[in-house]
Order: sequence, then structure tokens, then C-alpha cells
Amino acid sequence: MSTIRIEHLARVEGHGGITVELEGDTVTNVHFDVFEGARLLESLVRGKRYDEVAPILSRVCAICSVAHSLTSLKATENAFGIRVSPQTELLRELMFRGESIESHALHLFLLALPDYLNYPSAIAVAADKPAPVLLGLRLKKLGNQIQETIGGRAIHPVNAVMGGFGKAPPVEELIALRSSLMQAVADGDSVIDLIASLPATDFCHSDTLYAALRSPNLDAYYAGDEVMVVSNGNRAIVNAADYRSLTNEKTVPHSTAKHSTFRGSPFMVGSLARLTVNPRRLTGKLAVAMKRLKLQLPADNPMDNNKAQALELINDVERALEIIEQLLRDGIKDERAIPVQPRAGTGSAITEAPRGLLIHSYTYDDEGRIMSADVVTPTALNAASMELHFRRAVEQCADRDEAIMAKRLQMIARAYDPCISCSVHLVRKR
Amino acid sequence: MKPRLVLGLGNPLMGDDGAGARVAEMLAADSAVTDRAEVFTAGTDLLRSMERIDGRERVILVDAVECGDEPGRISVLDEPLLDQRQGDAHSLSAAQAVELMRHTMPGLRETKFTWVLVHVASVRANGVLSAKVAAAVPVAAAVVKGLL
Repeated sequence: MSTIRIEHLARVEGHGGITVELEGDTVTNVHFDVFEGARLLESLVRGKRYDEVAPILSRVCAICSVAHSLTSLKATENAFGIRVSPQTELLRELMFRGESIESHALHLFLLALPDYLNYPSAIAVAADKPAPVLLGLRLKKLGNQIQETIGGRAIHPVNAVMGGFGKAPPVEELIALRSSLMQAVADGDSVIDLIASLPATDFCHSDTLYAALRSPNLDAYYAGDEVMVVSNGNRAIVNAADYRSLTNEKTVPHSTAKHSTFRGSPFMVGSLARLTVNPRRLTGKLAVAMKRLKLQLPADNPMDNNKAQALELINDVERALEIIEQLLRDGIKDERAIPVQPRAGTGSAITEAPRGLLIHSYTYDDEGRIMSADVVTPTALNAASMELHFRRAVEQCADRDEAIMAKRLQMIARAYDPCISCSVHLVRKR
Repeated sequence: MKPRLVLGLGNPLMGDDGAGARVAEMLAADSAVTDRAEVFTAGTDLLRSMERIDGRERVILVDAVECGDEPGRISVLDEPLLDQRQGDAHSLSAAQAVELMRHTMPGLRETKFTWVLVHVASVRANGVLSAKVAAAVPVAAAVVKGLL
């Protein structure tokens, strides 16, 4: 028996590894080892009042604090029957776009790019080829700027409040943001030029199930309550309230992140899944860019998630610009948050965090205190799919060179852009 | 030319990791310092301060360091040891972030960076400094003041 072991997966968020065991050429075991300690945040919010929950649970992650914060609010609002105004929905969507721009820029240019160019790190890339790293940093900064302007600060947004929005952004700040976004639109061509110029990563093919929020507006990260699962032309719909039929979480011995399967099969969430589920958004400039990237949907190569992130990056910039134009055109109304009347019940919410579906579900007592909480993150949802693709990559590697296989495994892991710290939640041993 | 810049790094919610931020807060309240330099806390992601750093002749970074030395000891370095591996890279280490900025920002080519490091024994989520590190904060502030 031989073993390929990557003790510590670099250039991802959190601590994890990969183990692949082989008997001759046959892969016998594949593990995505997650050894982060359990975060216990779901237990931490038990007994907390409804207005304390989002600020606590946004601390799951500093990279996706907007997604956690807003998904938390949406779940509580669903539990109490609150429906926020269209303006609040728009501002929340804009915050999601800012977070996605920052996250995708960081992932593509600082984490994934060094693999393609055969450098050990983004610093080493920058020493030889500063332009692509600078491009990534410029876009990352734009994402920060959106989050700070709209959310009130860069991490853990204070303007995300129950039933509405805190301080609406002043017009002059929106105008400044519009100016930054218009400059970034021009960067879109550079993003596609760069990603199209990278060497092909044609070493893992597999039929893949994709799951993403079915958006009522073609293209939303925040709005919507249904997930569509797509596989080989078959489609299934899962409502937010019934999310457990999608997740079916189970513990595995090698990971503190639970694994999910849909009807027994692993599924992939994230950018590639979003484009697969909502292909109608891929028109005009995006369709041209997709052609340049040679991306075909549905894809059978998990490395295409990097291409999908590049497409989303340029789309996020344009969508953020559209939202700001709309806010400037319509004017920002001075709205008060809807008063909250707590009631006993359960509320669940699903959104699209940068890495894919994010689920928060809470049960409240009649005083509005949390009785139970469940948070399921994209990386946990992807864990089983990552293992499937690790297996396929090793099986399909004609060259039995361990170093080559190890590099491919790490590239696949990074293509999923895992946030391992987020993925760990309460593990109940049976 | 922009004035000299002092940035206090670290997360005050994580106990002794907040030493750099506490030093910056102390310096920001001292007009003898603010007459000569701009002082800010900069959290844990130095890349967020890129624009603030760009074009400075002199930048002093104050940070906590955990490397087995006596807690409360102060080190002053021009170039900290740089771990070339990009590990948990959604947040580069501060030293890696400086290196990355040097490569990508022409306005930093001539910038002199100085690191004032407060040695800590451990970092825990308790929001307060340990006694030895708390005692080192005014000492580190005096060191920074002497560098300006």
C-alpha cells in the first residue's frame, strides 16, 4: 500500500490536509482531513436574544462576515415573519457583491495563481510578475471599499440590522464608489486576459452534481429561498425550510467538518454551481468572456471553478455598479427598520456566500431567545465532493509520480477555495 | 512627502495579540508623537492599510510576536524573518504583506520599515493583556517615540 499525504494544505483558510491511500494503482481511501477544533458557535448563541445572534455568528469568519451576518438576519426575519423593504434587499445584495469581489480577487490572484505559474506563493509571483498581483490587490481593495461604505466597516458590518438597514450610505460616498467601480470595469478585461492565458488544468474529470440558490432575478446572492440541484440534465428543487434534505449531514472520523450528500451523492457549491444553475445570466460580455476562457457548462472539471470565479468577479463589479446607479437614480429613502415582534418558531435562510451555499436555521422561543441553531457552510457542503474529485484526479493520473499527484490534489483543493475554519461546527458522535 | 507613519497591529480581542494596537492607542494620545507622525491601529490585515502606507519615507510597525522569548521583551528589527511559505493565506503575515507591497507598489521601494515587536507567551480570546505584556506597552511606546 502507498499513501499520498499532504499534511498541511497551504494557501487556504484554516487547517486541513489530504490523505490518499492506494493499493497498487487502485485508490482505496481518500480523506479531506479537517482538524480544526469545533467552533461551538451554535451552542454559544443558545439562550441569546434575537438581536444578539447575527453579530455573534458573523464571527464565524472574517472573510465571509457579511454573508454570515446577513444570512443570520434573514433566518431570524423568516422566523418572525418580517419582510424587509426592497431598498434593504438591494443594499444587502450590494454588501454581498463587495464581499464576493474581495474574496474572489484574493483567491484567484493570491492563492490559486501561484500554482498555475509554478511559484510557491503570491509574494514570489509578485517579485517576478507584479502586474497580476497588483490587479488582484486593486480588486480586493474595491471589495473592501464596498463593504466599508455600505456595511459601515470592512469586517462584521454594523449596518446589518434586524428588519432593515442601519445608516444608509451618503450620496457622496455612493458617487465615490461608483467612480471606483467604473475604473474596475476596465480591469475586467485584464482579469479574463490573465485567466485565459493560464496553462490548462486538464487532470480531473467527473460527473458532478451542482447546487446553488435559484435566483428570482437571474442573478442574486441574497434573495431567494430555493436551491436547485443540477446533475446530467436532471433538476431538483429544495426549499430553505427543507434544507436538511439537501445537507443530510453526517460525521466522518477524519474530519471535524460534517459531510453532506444529496440523495447519496456528493455535490459541489460555489461559483461553478451558481453559473450552472443560473446560466441565463451568462449573456453579452459574460458570454464572450466565457468563450475566451473555454468554459462549457455543465463542467466536469472542478478546476473550472477558478474560471467561474473570474466570470463572477467581473459580473459582481458590473452588478454592484448597476445597484449603485439604481440607488442614485431612485434616491435613498430614510427608512426605519421594521419593529420586531418575537414569536416562537423556526426560520431558515439560504444565501450564496463567495464559496457557495450558506445556511442558517434557528428555532426561537416565544420571548425571541434562541433554542437551537444550525449553521452549514459551503466548505462543509463541498467536503464530500472534494474527496470525490481527489479520488478521480489520482485515478486519472497516468503518471504515478507522487509529486505530480500531490500538486494536482492541492490545486483541486484550492480551486474549491475552502474556508476550513468556517466548515467546522458542532460534531455529535453517535 | 507624507509624514512618518506608526501602525499598531493585532486583534485586541485576542489577549496579548492586541499589544501593538494598545501601543498605537497610547501613542495616538501623545501630542509629542502626533506632531511628528500619523498613528493608527491597523487590525490583523496589513494589506488593508496599503494606501495609508504608500509613499511614506518611514513606517514603524508595532506588533506582538510569539517566538519563545520572555513575554514583555521588546525587539526592534529592520527586516523580520520572512516565512516564504504562504500558509493560511487569506491573511498573510504582516511581514509577508510588507514584502508583497514592496513588490507591487513603486511608492514603497525607498520606504524604511522598522518593526517594534512585543514578545508574548500566548494568544487567547480573552480581550485583556497579560500583566507582563501590559507592562511592556509603555516601554514599547517609548521605543517608538525614540525612533521618530
